[in-house]
Amino acid sequence: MEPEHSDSNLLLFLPDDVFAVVSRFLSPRDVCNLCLCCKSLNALVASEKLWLTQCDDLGIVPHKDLVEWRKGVASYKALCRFLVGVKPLMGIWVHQNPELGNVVYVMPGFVSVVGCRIIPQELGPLGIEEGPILWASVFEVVSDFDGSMMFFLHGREKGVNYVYPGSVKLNKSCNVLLLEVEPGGCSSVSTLLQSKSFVHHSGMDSSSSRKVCRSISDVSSSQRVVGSEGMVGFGKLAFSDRRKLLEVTTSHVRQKVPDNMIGPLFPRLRDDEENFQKDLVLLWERRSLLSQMYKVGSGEVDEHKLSSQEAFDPTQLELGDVRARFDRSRSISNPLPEEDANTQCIKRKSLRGYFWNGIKQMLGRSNSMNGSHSVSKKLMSSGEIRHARLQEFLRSSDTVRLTLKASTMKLSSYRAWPNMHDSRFALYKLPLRVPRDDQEYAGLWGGTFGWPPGKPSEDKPGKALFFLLLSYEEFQGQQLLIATKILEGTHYVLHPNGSAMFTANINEPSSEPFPRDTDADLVPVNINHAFVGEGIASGYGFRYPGSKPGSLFVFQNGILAFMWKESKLVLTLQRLNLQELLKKGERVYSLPPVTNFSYLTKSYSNVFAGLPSSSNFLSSPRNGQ
Amino acid sequence: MGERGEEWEAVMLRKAEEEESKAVKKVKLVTSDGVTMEVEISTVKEMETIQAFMNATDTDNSIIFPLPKVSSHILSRIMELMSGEYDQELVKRLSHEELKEICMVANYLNMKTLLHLTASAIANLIQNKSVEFVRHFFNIINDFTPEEEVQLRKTHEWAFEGVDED
Repeated sequence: MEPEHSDSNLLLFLPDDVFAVVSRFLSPRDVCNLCLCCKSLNALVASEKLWLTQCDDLGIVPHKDLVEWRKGVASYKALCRFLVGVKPLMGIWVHQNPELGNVVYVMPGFVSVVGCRIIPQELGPLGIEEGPILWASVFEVVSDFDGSMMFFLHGREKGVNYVYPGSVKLNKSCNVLLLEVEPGGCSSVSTLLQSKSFVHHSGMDSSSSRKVCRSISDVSSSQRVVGSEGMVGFGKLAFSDRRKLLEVTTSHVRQKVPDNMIGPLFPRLRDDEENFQKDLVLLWERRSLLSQMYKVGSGEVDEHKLSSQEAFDPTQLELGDVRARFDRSRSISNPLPEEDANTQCIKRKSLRGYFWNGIKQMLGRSNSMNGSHSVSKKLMSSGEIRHARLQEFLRSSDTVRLTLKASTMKLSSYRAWPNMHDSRFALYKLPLRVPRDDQEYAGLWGGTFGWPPGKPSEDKPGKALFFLLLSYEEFQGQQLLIATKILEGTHYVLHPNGSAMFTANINEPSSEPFPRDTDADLVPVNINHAFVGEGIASGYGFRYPGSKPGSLFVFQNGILAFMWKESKLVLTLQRLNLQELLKKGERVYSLPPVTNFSYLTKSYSNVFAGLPSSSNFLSSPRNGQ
Repeated sequence: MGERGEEWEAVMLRKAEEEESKAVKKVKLVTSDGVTMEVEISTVKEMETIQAFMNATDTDNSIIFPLPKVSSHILSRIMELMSGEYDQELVKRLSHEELKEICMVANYLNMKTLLHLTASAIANLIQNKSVEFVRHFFNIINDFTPEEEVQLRKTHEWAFEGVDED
């Protein structure tokens, strides 16, 4: 960098259109820096066009949809804020359990992003492309008017669909997505609640609550295991305590989703213009309702926050207009009668006040039964440490909330599959590699066993659908193509989740012939390449599969097929566009909230679609709505 | 017969003239400080604004194109950059004033490569810098009140968070 100092001229007196060109080379962060420099620069970079470009460049949402989404936020700048925020969430997340596969794909919704779980399933009667594919919603992160994020966990309990509002904490380079309970909220809310719970305390002469208070102070004076480290994080708590906290919290924050508001979560494909427009109307209503629920659920007062936050926004005039529209659609779409909505609101707020005592009692009871405070304080059993940690965690604040936390962890991996903790309520990111010249088969593939590919044969319906993630790894100077299984649609799992269905050596051509010479439409098949490889086979028990020789064939039409040499078994694969498949897919019910996020029980069968009947389908483009 | 021959000759002559003028045809650019610069037609090809004008007028005579907003100094710098095939090193040697002027001219004359080059060079000065650095570097006077600045930093927190957490 030259030591030379420039005139402010350089930036300030650039015409708008030239500055727009310059801004294409800047990140949202760079542009925000300019906002903070001085008033004239602030005005210069406040243009809608500039921020639309920034939104576009993030590459998450297509331009056409951005224009649609803009109507739901204060400005393109607000939209950019949201998109920057959710960017680390986009893509494929997995968990080891259940072994059939736990694939959650986070994709754009409507002024939101949605976590969709692909259900382990058999190939639909119309093949992969026209399936339709079955999926269930896991969570969504919706943009508020100012571009801040509203998190909703999804779940279904006792036949009722709920959303569970919470906050979002994201790290840009995250590889693990955690469902946690976090002490505290935004300061204004917690002071509000503090004063409420104080009133509540004085009005209630409960010896049990006093006991809890005393036991907490006992801990703080004599047993501060963690005092030096500061606050105890959720992750430091014992597994059963974490599970309990999550269950208690979700049962308190949950809000029923009216039947007419369950879906859709994103519009159908644009080529279905009429239904696309219909979906937009529904999506608008749904979003208004969600944002209302969020405010009730988290006790946020947004009116003040919003007006002060947008003080420098030149779109302020427009703001009132859009807000009015927002409110109007809200009151129209509100499925609850006005009176009910009010009582619910009050109930929620006061509920929050004593909900906390409820938790403390509930969790404290089992601990105080052990009489842990009377025993010797010199030697602490692991149970006591656990107890003390929990007390410390609970002590740290008067309020808790559900949190989606994306963090960065050091993870080891074997053949492109991360080694996972089995006691964390977590999902793990699988980096989706983009095909390059030297890695042309990288990415997501789907298929079934058998030839010809694509459609199920009439005599053999119900082929298990497989999802494989192809990536490259260098091994002893050779480029290995690894096909990691992430989803398997069999009734009972064949091989562990995340195992390599096959590996192929890209540097070693195979001379093996392909036994069939026509495809499904009896068109002759043309083989472009064939590589030597190894396919998965039964090994030492379930956990340690073996391998047998085979070949990977690359056909001219882009289809891949791996053939086991001995058995002549063929696994055929085609590239998948998950976003498109989900838009054409069929949504099924979610599991109860905590298991819906992370299914931690070992299982070899299909836990996500307990009732594979058509009554289970929530929305289907084919059934109509 | 003789008449026809003359006619024929005249046609041939005109064609030759045309070809000659095409071969050596030059565009004269007149800068804001009154300097006339003669440039090759190939040079003008990249200046889409002038090219469009030439296509529209379709004249055989060489064109005089006034550039009231471009100084001869800047125009010669542009010629240097063009003949140097837009070398990054040449761009680095420009002063900020020159950089800004060239960028604006590139925009005005619709010179895509040059605009891209200079705009990215300007962006480079801002990329990944702190607010304080940008203010200092561009000699920008902070005219926000402390309260306003605190408020602004708060509303822009989103762009800076989540970078070094955990």
